Amino acid sequence: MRKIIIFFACAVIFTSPVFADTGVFVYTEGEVDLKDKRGEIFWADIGDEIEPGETVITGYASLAEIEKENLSLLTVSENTVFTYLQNESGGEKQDVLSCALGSMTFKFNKVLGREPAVATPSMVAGIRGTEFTVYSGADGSSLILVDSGRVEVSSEGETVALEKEEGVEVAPGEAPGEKITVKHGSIDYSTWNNSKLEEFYSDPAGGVEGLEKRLISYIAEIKKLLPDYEKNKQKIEKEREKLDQLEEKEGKDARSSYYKKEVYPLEVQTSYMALNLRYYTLSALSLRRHVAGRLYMYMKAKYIRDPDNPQYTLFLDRHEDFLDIYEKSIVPRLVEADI
Amino acid sequence: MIKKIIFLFFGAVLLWSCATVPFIQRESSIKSVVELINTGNHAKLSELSEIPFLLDGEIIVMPGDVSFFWETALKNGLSISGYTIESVGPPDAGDSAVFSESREIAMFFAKYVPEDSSIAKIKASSGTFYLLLNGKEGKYPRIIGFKGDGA
Repeated sequence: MRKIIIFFACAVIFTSPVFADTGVFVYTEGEVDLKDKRGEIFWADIGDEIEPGETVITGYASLAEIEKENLSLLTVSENTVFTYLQNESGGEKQDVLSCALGSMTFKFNKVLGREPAVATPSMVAGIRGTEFTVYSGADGSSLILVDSGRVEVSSEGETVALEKEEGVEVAPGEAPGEKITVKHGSIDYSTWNNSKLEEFYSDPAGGVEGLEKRLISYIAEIKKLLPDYEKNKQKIEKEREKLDQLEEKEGKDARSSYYKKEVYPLEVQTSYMALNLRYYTLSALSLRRHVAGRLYMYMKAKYIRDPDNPQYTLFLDRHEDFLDIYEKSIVPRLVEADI
Repeated sequence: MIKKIIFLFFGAVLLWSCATVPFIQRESSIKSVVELINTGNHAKLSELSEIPFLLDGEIIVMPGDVSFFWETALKNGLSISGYTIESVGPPDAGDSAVFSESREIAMFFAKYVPEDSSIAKIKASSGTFYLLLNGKEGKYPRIIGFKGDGA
């Protein structure tokens, strides 16, 4: 058991910032908070690092620029929530730049390493040598606008490829919409976000339905991974015992050879599963906190003198359903630092 | 008379230095927050609100959102009129359920609600309200959370 713990500690170290890429704040303006992995929130300053699992929250009239080794520049605009995540894709660890709310611009150099994915509450995008902007609306919708390169936007099993001066909007729980042609800087975030909020107010219960669909898709991924992950953990424990026996009978070389051939690949596979489980859990948390929770706040403020309004009560019923699902499937997977 | 004063002085010092005596917000400080709500002073309410902020069962993490809530709710008529402060005390283990029965909110209380906080229950003609308060800033307490049935 101790060895298993040592293995997972090593896995955490190897996936930790010492070995993984870290981003560096090269410019900050106004109120830029960094929520670290322990859940502590502090002001981010120029020169501070951001590590996987950490979140940047910018306030009104604020801005942060983050540079990464394989990513030229990431500009986080005002009133934005950005989380630096990682998952496993195609047998390799991949950075995921998640924009839960607000807007960000990405500019990439010709990439030597693996390009990151970009995620919002409604889609995931794969990128190829790209300069583009992501808008994440208050209702969970996304708008992706490409300046150069190529972006593949995926949602609900469908993918749309975008080239220069193309964009696409994705509503939560729905496939990407029709491609649009758009000039750089021609769509203002605030105007777009207000239109999304107006759409939400016209059918608030329907808005939560889309979020629920998205939440269920995260939970489905977790459920898919969990049985194999648990099985692998047990397998590793058995293999560790086997290694000890092997060393006793045939010596250290036999142990080392068996470890490299059989145990190490299993350990890597299991650590990737853990990474993905964490990724989907944090994505669900982000959806709940930065989209569903804010929509509740908007509705509460709007109907504060009219709590029996049918629009409001319908919304509350749907919101409660969303929370029930979240509470049962996601909360048990959270740690205090996530709150 | 002098003996009485000395006795009261040392009694007060003893009470003040005793760590086990919880700090409870005075009624006047709770009334000062209610007054801010009733006079529509959203700017001061925003200034006094902690981040993260608890609104019913929701954890609000963006300062702009807390300001938006106070401004919009007050504009839409939030008020606590004809009220009585029914209880004030330090939050206990079960008090997170006042806001929400979720485990997430219990975790919020464990992490963000200091032991010397106070939870005030206010009965008003417009419903029942809860204020989660801590510390002092001038005559006002800091606001960690707000819950209201109606307005």
